[in-house]
Amino acid sequence: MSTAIEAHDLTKGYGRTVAVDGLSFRVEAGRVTGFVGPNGAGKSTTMRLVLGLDAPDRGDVRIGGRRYRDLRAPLCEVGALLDAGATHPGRRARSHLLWLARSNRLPSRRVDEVLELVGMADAARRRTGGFSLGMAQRLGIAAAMLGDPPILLFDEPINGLDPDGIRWIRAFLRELAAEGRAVLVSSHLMGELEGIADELVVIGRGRLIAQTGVGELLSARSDGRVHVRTPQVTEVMAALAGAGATVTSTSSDELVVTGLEPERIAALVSEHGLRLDELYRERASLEDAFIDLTRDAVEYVAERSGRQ
Amino acid sequence: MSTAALAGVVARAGGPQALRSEWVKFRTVRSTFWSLLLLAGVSILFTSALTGGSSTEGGSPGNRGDNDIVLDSLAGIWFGQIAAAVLAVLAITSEYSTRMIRTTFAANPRRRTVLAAKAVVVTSIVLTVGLATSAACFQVGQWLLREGGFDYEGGYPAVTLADGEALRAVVLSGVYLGLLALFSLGVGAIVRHTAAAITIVLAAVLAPVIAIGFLPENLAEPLEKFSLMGAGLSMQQTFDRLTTSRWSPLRGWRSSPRTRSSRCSWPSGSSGAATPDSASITPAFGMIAA
Repeated sequence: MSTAIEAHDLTKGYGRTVAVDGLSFRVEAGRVTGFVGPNGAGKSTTMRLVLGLDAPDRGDVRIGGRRYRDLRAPLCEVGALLDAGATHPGRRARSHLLWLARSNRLPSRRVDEVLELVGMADAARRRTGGFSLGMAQRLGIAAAMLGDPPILLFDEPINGLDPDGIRWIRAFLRELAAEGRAVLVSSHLMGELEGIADELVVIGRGRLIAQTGVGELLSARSDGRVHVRTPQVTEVMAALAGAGATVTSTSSDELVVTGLEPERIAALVSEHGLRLDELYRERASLEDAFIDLTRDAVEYVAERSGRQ
Repeated sequence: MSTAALAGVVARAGGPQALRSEWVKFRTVRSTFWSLLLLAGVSILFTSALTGGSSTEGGSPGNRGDNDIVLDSLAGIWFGQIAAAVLAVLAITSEYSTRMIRTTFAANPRRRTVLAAKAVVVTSIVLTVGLATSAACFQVGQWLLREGGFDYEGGYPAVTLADGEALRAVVLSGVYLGLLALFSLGVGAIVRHTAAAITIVLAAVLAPVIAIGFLPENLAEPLEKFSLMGAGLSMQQTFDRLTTSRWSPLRGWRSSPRTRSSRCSWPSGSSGAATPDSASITPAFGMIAA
């Protein structure tokens, strides 16, 4: 696994506001890295800094060890979708990809390939002004894929998509990582990244809150709770407590057990000749983990209390 | 990468690539075609209107009239130029307004190269269409003027593009349009906003023309000398109608604002080009201002 993007002490302010403040993180090849933070946390600014569209006040960011402006053919190193609507509305989809291809000496056939790749071959001759958000996103992804780059950046790619589009893009992002590419996906909703991201970079108010693997984050949070549903609540409770578990009853037919693995619980229940309707390990949602993580980010708290 | 999609392709983002890329951008939006059509159409239309209605009398082969019929036939350019300015402004500001500029600079972070490529593409296309337009204006204008009596018999020997002075005027009118496009692109690149850039360009082109009418001579003269249109007009002139070089179309309008009807007509019995009365000095600009 190699480091595709490495940001070190990135800092960028606009006037009096500090958009990104001493941010350091890494994006690894072969993984989907979720870039998460509340709105206004500095995600888009960071993406612009990675792409050399803004100059940092301090710190730097390297693409495979090099600065963005030193890349000979940027489209073949980093593909980016920053803003799906950022196309000239009067230009046809294919023409939009064609000027991009020309800028990096990529062949025209590649334009048709990426249109095919995102399922837009039929819309190639249409003007982008008439595109739905989903189509615009696909065109943006096609543009990012033009140079077949090992690193991909997607800024809020799921935002505003319909269920079909969401399913498509989730599968697509997983596939890119499976091919060995480094994929950085930003989102302000942690839930969107559930099942996509392997790694998380969580920021708030321009600062790094955590960089962590998704697996570690979830197991650290669920504390091994197991849910049990049975019509014989009292008997099951007694049997499990006798085996050393901590059992609490949450309703007339449900128990929450800690201290025992599900396999052991199932064995104990059947040993006692009792009935079991349902048994599952509690999985913390990424959303909950995210809220825990960002609770201290002042902006987020302010936003929440503002709504109440 | 793991895929072989670009096997054998030597990708590169340099100057030649920027040129080809900007050319694709320029030719794939409809506004380019329509603006260039407007540039040619409006120019020829106004040249036709201005030259078609004019007539002269009283001249004779031996008594050369003092109207600059080359300048007159190119007057339509002053109307068509707005299309060239708008086209060039939009070539850059539309990238900022759609935020597509980020994609542009991500694809090639060498911004000066990109801007230079855009300037080359926009300037050379406007220059080409501008040259064709000014040649067309000249031909149409000469034909209509001849119909109106500006011929050998009326004191106006036929002028063709084979005449050095006429050729210079026609070529430099095209060059003026190309330079105006370059200037407009530059303004667009600086202010990055369509309406603001167009306003600035039009103000830079037209404001001196209007202001000169109100300014005292000592201020009007340098303004006229260094204004865009003043410079452009001096390119179109093919002969001095006064013995001094102080005469100019801009000043002509200033001294005789009500000369529209007498435009292109030279009063009979004139003693020649050296001493015209002021009312006859009626340049194309009189039309513009009126």
